Amino acid sequence: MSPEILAFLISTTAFVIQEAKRAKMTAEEIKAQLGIDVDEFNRSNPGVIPSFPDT
Amino acid sequence: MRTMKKAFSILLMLFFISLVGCAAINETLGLQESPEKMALRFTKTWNTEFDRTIRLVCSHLSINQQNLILAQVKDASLTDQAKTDLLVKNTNPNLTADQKKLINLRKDILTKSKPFIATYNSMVLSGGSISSLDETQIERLLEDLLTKYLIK
Repeated sequence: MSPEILAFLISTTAFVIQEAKRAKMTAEEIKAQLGIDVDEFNRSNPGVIPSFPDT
Repeated sequence: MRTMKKAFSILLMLFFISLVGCAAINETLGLQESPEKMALRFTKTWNTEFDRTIRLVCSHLSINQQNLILAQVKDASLTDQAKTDLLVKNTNPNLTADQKKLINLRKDILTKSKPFIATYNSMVLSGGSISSLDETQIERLLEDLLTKYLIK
């Protein structure tokens, strides 16, 4: 295998690993945001919305 | 032999290129929605639609007054009875029959979808197993809010 191809494969592998790490970080960030939205969600009770039985 | 080695190298390169390409396309187009992303979308949609329903109930008030009511409705220190009384007191007296019907239907869907989303969220946050059946049920319920019973 020529050195150029080897260099290409190494750099591509590094890129794939970097992308995988980035995707994992994003999932953690999403979870943090989800925690905030879930807090609001838990404080919202649709039962308090008035019902209109005569409609 | 030399030609075979070259062909193998090219095939290996093509394989790596396609691997990177697939990952990039999936990420860019969001073709594969992760459970975290899905949970965030479900929760955000539910929260938004809850807010919109409350705003419709007191649609005769200014935006600032509506915001104040929304803050009180989500205040954990207030009882549900106090929140109900607040909303009944501030209900738009000029709501049409169609608007009242829409509020009833939206309240019903918000109530039905809440336990599904709550379970889904706790599964995602605790790392438990997620059922695709739950995802489908939530999608269907939220779709009703976003299409059939949309506030115009």
